[in-house]
Amino acid sequence: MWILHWQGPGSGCVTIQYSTLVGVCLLLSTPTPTMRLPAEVTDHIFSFLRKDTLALKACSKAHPLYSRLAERYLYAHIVIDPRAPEVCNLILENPRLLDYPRSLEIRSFLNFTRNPLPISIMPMIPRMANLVSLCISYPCPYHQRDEFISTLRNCLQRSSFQKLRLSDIYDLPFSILDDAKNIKQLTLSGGTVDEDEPVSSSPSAQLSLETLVLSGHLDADVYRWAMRWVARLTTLELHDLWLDQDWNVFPELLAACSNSLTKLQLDTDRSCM
Amino acid sequence: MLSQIYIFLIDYTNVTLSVLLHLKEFSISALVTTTATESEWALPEIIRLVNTAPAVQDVFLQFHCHVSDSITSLGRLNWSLLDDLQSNYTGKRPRIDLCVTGEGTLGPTFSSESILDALAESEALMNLVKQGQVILRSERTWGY
Repeated sequence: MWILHWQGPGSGCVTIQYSTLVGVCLLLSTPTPTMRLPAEVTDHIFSFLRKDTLALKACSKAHPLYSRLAERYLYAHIVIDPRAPEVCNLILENPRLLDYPRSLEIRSFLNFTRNPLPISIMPMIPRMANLVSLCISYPCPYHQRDEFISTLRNCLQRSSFQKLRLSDIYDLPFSILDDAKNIKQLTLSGGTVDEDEPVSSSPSAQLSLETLVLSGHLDADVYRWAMRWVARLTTLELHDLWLDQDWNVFPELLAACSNSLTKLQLDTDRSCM
Repeated sequence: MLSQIYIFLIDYTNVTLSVLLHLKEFSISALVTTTATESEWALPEIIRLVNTAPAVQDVFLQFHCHVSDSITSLGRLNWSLLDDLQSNYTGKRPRIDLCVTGEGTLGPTFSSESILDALAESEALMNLVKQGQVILRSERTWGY
């Protein structure tokens, strides 16, 4: 299968088979005056390898120039996971990498040990100028909650990413989302509202969503908070619906976005399927 | 279980789409169980809900089979209910994109072709397809 067809100014067409892409890069790993490709061509070739991390890593080891060119694809989608802390440490130690991430996922798993990774990486997020999407899943044990919430609040106020997904975050003070004025798409999956924080009845002056995705088991107060943000909502998706949810609040949510909603999706709990 | 969700959502909470004056697309998923009568629960509720949307143009229905026996239930479903979708204030009946999915892990006999064969037994559904009111697709899915 031929996958690359490139025509540069004053040059002929270049067509390269995918299976030979990595080979081409490695062959040119010691560029000579007669074999050196322009950096923009090499960059274009690397763009086809963006989903092939192993190939990109192999290319990046072949030559310092390729290492720099491959970085923007290697670090476009970053996962911070306590089982692989080296990625987090690499970013913390190399601030130039902060320009590359377009999506960042911070994930953890249920345990009771202190997990410093989410807390340490989140202050760096406002410096990720090209970040589009942030996903945070069960970030830390309960005894770190206050520290996490404080860091998340600061992150939301100062960042410019447009997609936010929060999964399995419990006792979250939802008022911190009011300040996330750049977010166009919000996904809430599981989790609960901080019971000590009353739901404000007035619409949020800042957050004005275009897409809201509610997934899994969410308590009714999550829906009540969501009503404050949906005045301009065009797409509402409800995934993994559960029978034992308090559905009485659902008609109110529809009414709150009735002036703008053009797409509605209802999916039942797929684990039942 | 899944049908019960829609019965609860639509009947008990009186959810309608009547307030959504600008709603153009509506998507909904349900399960095809091994018991045809149980599967039939969801379809009337869904049709009733869609008919409350004043301006919907595209309706995407996804029915999912997760056990082999549910294929045989497909042909027995009362697909003529889809003919009950009414014209809304736009003067047009909504287009129906009907996608039946089957769990790919159930083996090679559980294929897109076998799903379509089962659906072809429903004369009412085939008439709707011939009339252009329903676009019919089937896909194998690989786990959720």
